Amino acid sequence: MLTRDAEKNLVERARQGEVEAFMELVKKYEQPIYSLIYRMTGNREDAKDLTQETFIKAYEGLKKFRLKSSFHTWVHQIAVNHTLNFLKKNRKQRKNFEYLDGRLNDGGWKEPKVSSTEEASIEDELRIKMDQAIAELPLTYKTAFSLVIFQGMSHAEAARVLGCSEGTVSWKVHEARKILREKLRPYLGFIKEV
Amino acid sequence: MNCEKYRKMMSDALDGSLSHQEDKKLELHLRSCADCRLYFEELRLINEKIKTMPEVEMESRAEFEVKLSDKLRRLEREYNHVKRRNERWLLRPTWALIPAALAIVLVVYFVFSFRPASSQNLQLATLMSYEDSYLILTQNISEGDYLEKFNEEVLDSIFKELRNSDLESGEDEVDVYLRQNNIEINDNILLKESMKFTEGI
Repeated sequence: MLTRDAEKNLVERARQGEVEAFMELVKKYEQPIYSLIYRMTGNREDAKDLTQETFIKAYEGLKKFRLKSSFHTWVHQIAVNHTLNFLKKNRKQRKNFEYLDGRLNDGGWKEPKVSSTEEASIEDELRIKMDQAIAELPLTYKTAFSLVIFQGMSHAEAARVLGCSEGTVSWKVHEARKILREKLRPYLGFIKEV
Repeated sequence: MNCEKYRKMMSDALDGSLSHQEDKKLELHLRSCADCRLYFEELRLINEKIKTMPEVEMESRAEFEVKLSDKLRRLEREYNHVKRRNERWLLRPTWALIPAALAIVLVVYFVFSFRPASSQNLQLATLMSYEDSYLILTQNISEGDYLEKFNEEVLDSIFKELRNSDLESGEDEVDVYLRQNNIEINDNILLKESMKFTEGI
């Protein structure tokens, strides 16, 4: 785990053209950035390509980066903006999410540690339903929700990434929760049990 | 405050972004509203379950890192190459630019000198030629030697004009005066007098 000072040092070295230092930052952020982009696009290949492009953009922009915001916020900003642009350009192609045809267990997921096969199947079904519900959220709610819930950001930090107010983030997350509750209500009994 | 506003506060409470005062208000409302208590419980359950969902892991991370690292190194080499080329260009001696500047000046000169003359340009040229003639004339006059000759030429031309006009016009002021006073004078005498007058001047 990198400390704040160690991260600043790596950013400074990367700005001087040290690729190894930048790769240390990549190792720290590649998984959360990939996860965020995957939540937004719903496609593993696209998420991988966009993650790579995000880091290339970050490296190119690093010489102009003034360290006013943290590298963490800045790289998430690049990822969100780059993905939103990609989704705008490929709007027609983005109708079918990978999650929706239940291919999630093909390799991307960690195996759940459960005691019986019955519990495992309920757990899997519930996970797929939750994934479907999240995937079907409007993009703007989904992005704010993903930053707060999956990336663990505060409303203030998510607002800096999205370039909006904290109130807007709060409202978007609230709206996302309302939709999810409506869709997942039939499964709440299972949620309590599992 | 209606239940909808408390429900938004519930969402904020789950994210830990509710102030102490708002938290107290929500607590008081939940004590008195059974629907909101149920709603909050459902939200909390869904939230907990979603937060425990395993992350979608990137496949073949090592390969991803190698590819990215190669691309960044290539990018860095290109950046350094461009930087060095720019530095070399800036360090070139300035006299190398002189032929280029001269060529530009010549091109501009030829372009403007071979432009078709517009009516405005012609008027300007005429005015300039008049001005040149005037300058030459005044220069000749001021040189002194030519002044006398010039005066003679000017006076000759004036009297020639006078004579011609006298001959052409027929009746002038003198004729009118003689006629009005019934004075008969031979034309030849008048001509001789006129000649004497001009010679005297």
